[in-house]
Amino acid sequence: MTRFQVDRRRATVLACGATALAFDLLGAGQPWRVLAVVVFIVVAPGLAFVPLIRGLDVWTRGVLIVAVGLALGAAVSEALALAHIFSGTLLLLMLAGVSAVGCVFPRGAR
Amino acid sequence: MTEYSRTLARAGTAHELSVSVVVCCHSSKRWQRLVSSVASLREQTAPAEIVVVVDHCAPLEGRARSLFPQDVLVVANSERPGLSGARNTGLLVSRGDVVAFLDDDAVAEPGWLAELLAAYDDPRVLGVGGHVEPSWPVSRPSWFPPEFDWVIGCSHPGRPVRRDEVRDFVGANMSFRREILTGVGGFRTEFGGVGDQPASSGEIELCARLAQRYPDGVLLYQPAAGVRQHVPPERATWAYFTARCRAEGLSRAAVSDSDGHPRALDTEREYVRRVLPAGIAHALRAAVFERDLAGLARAGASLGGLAATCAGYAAVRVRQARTIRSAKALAVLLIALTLWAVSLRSANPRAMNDFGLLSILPPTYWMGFALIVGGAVVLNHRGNTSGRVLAAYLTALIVQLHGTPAILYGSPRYSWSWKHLGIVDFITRRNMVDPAIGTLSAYHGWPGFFSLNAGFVDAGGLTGALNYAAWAPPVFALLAFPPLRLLYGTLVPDRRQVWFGLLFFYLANWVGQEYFSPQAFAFVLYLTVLAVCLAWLPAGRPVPRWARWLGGGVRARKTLPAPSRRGVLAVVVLLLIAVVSSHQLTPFMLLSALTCLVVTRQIRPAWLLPLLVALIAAWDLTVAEPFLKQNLYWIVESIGQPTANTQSNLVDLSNTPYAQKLVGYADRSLTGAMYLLAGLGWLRGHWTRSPRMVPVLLALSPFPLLVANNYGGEMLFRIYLFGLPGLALLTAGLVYPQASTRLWRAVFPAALAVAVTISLAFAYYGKERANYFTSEEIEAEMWLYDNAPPRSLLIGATPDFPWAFRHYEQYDYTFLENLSAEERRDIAAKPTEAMLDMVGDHPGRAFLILTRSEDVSARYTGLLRADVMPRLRALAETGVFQVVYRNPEAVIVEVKGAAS
Repeated sequence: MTRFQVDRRRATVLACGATALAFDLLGAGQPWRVLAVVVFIVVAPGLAFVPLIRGLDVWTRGVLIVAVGLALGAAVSEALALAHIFSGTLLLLMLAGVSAVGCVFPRGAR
Repeated sequence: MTEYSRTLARAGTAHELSVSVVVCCHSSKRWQRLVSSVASLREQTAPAEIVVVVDHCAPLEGRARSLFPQDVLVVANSERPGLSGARNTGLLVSRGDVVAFLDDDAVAEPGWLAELLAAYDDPRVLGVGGHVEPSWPVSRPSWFPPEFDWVIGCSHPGRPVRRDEVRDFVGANMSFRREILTGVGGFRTEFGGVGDQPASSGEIELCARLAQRYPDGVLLYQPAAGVRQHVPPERATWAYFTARCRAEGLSRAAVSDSDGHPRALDTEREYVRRVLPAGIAHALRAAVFERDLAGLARAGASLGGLAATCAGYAAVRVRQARTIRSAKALAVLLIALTLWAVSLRSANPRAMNDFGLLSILPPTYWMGFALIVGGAVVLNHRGNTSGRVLAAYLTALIVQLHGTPAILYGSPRYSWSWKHLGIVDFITRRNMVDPAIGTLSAYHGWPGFFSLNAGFVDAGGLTGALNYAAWAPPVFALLAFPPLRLLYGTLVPDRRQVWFGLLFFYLANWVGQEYFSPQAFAFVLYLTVLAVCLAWLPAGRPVPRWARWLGGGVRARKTLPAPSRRGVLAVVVLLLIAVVSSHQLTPFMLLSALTCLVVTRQIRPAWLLPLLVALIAAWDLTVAEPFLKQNLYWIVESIGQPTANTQSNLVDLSNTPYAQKLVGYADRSLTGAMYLLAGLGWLRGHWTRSPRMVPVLLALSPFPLLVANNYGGEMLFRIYLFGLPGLALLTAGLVYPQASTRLWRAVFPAALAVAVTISLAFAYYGKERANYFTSEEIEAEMWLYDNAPPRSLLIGATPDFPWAFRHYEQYDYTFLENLSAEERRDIAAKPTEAMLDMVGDHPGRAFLILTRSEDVSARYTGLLRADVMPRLRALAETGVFQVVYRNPEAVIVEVKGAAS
């Protein structure tokens, strides 16, 4: 992975998170708001972590990016619901935090 | 030990490595350049063996042999004429641990070799390339953009300025470890130019092959290892510039079309997106702000060069028959989709009879479907159809099959979808789940899917999941496609078997569990876990002797480095957590499948099994404990009762309408046929000495669950669904692999596909009259929840009506189909008394809901006698109880019991 690709990955995660949060907090109109939220939840967490795994082919990476997004989304949202503090905004914030952790990994860690 | 690690074990450090430099030449015209090139090599600070390869030019060969010193080895190209053949000859005769290549018109800086060799200190390094600086005869032509220095075989400004990993090298200045280069068979002679012909990409194709063969290896760019490339005057012309650009486009198309190079053009895309626009902008700035008119020429040359390269690339693509075939195949697909779209205009779901959608879909619908299925079978049988085209056909099949109800109905099908919508609604309203709740507690005990959807709804600003739930079936079916493709691609090497298996998976999946449900969500994760474990966590050990009769194990594939393996394991653990917390049954199915794979040494580590058991136990004894407590009796009762569990899954068809008998026979025969075909496919594997164990394990692993539970009468369906990935692949093994691609040999797979499609049509679309809800039924339920006060008792014949559970924590529910057989008989005999008994001393008001869908559902399941629903409706008509709401599809009656 080149430096440019690393930056593109970080930029995509950041842009997805910022857009989803902004649309959520500002109450943007449909369908853009739901589109931004779905893309962020399904893609961003996986995109933050899966490319850190070296040696996988493109197909596997794609499968894992979506699966990690769905799994993390389910795990975090149910934790919030079980704690009786569920809200969409909180879910987005927590997933953004988790995704940010993936984005700060240095290149050497790969 | 992998091939790569063996190679690395033999590789020495930079200080221990010897080096050979290969200089290829083909023309006496460049004799002086060749002499300069060789002289620069003799002045290197690091000693090297020098090999001059003469490419089929006898005069030059004689001159070189006589005039070069003894320590320069001169040989003739013994391979196909051209640069690649000459390089291979040099590789063959040289002896250095590292083989470097220098062009005959390039001059190396004195420290060139030392810089290249220093980079080999890292054992991951497969090859090292360096910077190539143009040496113009007079000066650089003012119109020649630096971004196009690759045209003259030099480094362009898009190359790294510091030591960094790259995808490929400039051919004039590159080196490789000998063992690595010989290991991949050297350069391919179909790439690379001959003589002065403007062609390239031999080194690019080689680098792509190296990256694929050694995914952990590194190709390093070392700018300090510099050479100067002479640029003859004829290369500084516009004619050469455009011809070379066009040739580059031709070469890149050929390289990217080579098998297994899916990302062959990544660097070019980055170059076009980043480097070229920056160069053009710089040239235009120079023209505007520095009054350098040549800047305009450079910008124009950049655009012209890009156009010529694209033209070359497009020329190859258009010429390729595969592209034309793909275009034809996609045209057929477009016709099929058009037929489908036309068919939907005349289909009215309200006109459905007991054959469900079969009764209203016009012939154009089935013509479109036949084109898709037939096209997919034929294109796959040809063996050379692009994977993208086949994926387009499968996508179209999924969208047509599962999207049709969504388009026609405009609301979610299946009453269970509405039940699940109620859970999502609960979470968004109350910001919580409540595992101890009395009604629908199972969903609160395994809330992953529902809370995720509540997140979509709440953060997405939707009024509810109803906005999109109707489209869940095609979405979940599409989500299952990539992991299935990965799974099948891992299990069998034959591409046609893979795609035929995929087609069969969707054609034989009549169970209909891909609706808006936690099981659909968990099934996608189930497939992903299996695919990833088999693809990237193989045990790498032989199959135990006792299991060999089942067939060969998962085929060998490249091994991941330890950190990556740990990364994959971390992802798998996350997926296991999501599966365990989202659905009751899927974790047990996954446990059974993983157990089979671990004990037969197909995957490792084995600790995944105790981990999954611990996760299930931890979840079930904490969050899901209230549900388990409430239902412990029937769960324990059904353990060890496989016969009873099987019988409870089969609807008694004797009391159902004739059409539903046919539908029932269709789904049962399709299920039986799939097991039969899969068995035959496995036997054929034995016959052809290529039996596959893993699909058998996947097909059979769900069966132990039948001993454990009847799962509310659904276990048989679930066993079939979870076994279907294995069944479909084994069935594909009945046809493929085979050598022939002749069209008539596609008759057998086509006949199989047609037979399965007909069964699917009955089994999947045949019950739709009960799964469809009209707008009047939905309006009735909305009225009910708007007007029934909290703690009302809601009575239904069945729960099969829309919004059966909305705001359900505020209401009490009872359904006639859940009563004992004796009580159900009483309803028909004395409906008024039975209703009053049901209300009993319930403190709130009571409402009886009677809808068209309940009517249909009661007839199809046969749980209520045929005269029950008419008698209940008669109660409304005779005014025994008060009718509080009525529309053509639904009646709501208030039942006033003793408490009232």
